[in-house]
Amino acid sequence: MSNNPNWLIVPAVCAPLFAAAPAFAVQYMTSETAQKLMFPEASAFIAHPVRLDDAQKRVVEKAARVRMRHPEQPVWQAMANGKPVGWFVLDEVYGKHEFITYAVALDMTGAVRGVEILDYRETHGSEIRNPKWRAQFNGAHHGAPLKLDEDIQNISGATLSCKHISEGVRRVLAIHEAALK
Amino acid sequence: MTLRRAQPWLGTLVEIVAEGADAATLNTASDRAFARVAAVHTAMSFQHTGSELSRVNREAQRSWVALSPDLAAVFAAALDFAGESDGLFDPSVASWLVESGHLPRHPDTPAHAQPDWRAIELDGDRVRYTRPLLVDLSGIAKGYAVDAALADLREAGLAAATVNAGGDLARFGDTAEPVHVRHPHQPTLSLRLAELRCGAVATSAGYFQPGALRHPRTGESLCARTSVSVLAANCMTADALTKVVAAAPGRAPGVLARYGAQAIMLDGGRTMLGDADGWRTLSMERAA
Repeated sequence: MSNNPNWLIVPAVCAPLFAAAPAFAVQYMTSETAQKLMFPEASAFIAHPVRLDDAQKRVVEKAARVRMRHPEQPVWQAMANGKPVGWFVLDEVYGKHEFITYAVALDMTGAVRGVEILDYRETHGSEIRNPKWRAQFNGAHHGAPLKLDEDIQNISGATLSCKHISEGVRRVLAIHEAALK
Repeated sequence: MTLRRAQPWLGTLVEIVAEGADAATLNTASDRAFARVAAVHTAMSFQHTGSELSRVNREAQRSWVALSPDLAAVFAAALDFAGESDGLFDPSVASWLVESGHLPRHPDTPAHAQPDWRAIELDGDRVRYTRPLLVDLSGIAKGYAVDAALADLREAGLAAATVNAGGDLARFGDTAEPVHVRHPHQPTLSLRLAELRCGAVATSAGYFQPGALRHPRTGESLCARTSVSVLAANCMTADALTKVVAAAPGRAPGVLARYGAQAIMLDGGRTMLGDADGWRTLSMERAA
């Protein structure tokens, strides 16, 4: 059993604290790549930034039940064969520990065609910068320093809720209702 | 080339990393795999009143309910895990999670259902509950969705792929890739857990959702200061077995043996490896 041909546990897990990484960040794709992925049929994307006035902002906040940090929202209209086929909305959400940039694709009726993550960052800066906090990982294990590895892949047990994205999508839909119809 | 993308499904972020010849192949294959995840999400959500599972929870109290192939497969697997673990895995503990506020309360479902997986009667592609019950399949539905998505990526003829649904991950490929796990006391730290070529890893831990994991008999909260990872041939099995190991580490080796799986328990200080041969402490010095 310890010699399963498909995985190897022992050597990797022996010294877990040596291979500790402080943060987790992934850049999945640029906004341009996401546009092409979400609207493969489109030949052009026309910038159509939305700036909500105070009345629209209140309507959106009420409908989406979330506060709007910025009255301005980057939006593009996807065009295919000279006709509009949908909206590409760029958005950001912040959690206690995460910062996520993502895109929502809407069809012309305002239905969600897809949601794609562009950039994901977990922010634990204060802990990492605190020398006392770092010190607990030094010395106790042969004095090995914290090994920093910025691009950690394949994290198991990373169940961060996507609650903020759900709220963000709700806000994007309310913005469509208020300003893009 | 490698494609890496992520979408919000199953209450978490689902990431697909895929290797293939060209962008078009990778885009099409990953679109299909995400659509598969979305279908499982839609069918098996406990949270949404409109899901197939919510309909089953309303109607199976009274009569037989027909199940889609996906839901029938997950019900069958849930009962298999419950039987093999003598109830240490129990898909009917949802009522406790409703009472603690981790899951929503829906109209037309029993207000005080006592968990008992034996009250789930499955007959091929139909099911009924023989007493008031609430079933939540999220303990394995995420793993099932990962396996289904990965099967699609394999069918698309890709060289290698990984699907990771908020920490429940499975992959195939020719070479082994490192898999990391969060430190149970400091989830900001990730630790190297294993090298995985083909197969799955799932982890249960209390750091982001304290109290969400309960003992099926006592209702006691599990994994407050520890994390349990299981390596198995597929993600649904790994997903289910983390709950068994967390609930009763002492009885886990027998169950792990039946599924050819291995478990790793981290409590911050010690690292324990469990499998058919029992539990042993992994020495920290050996890797230095």
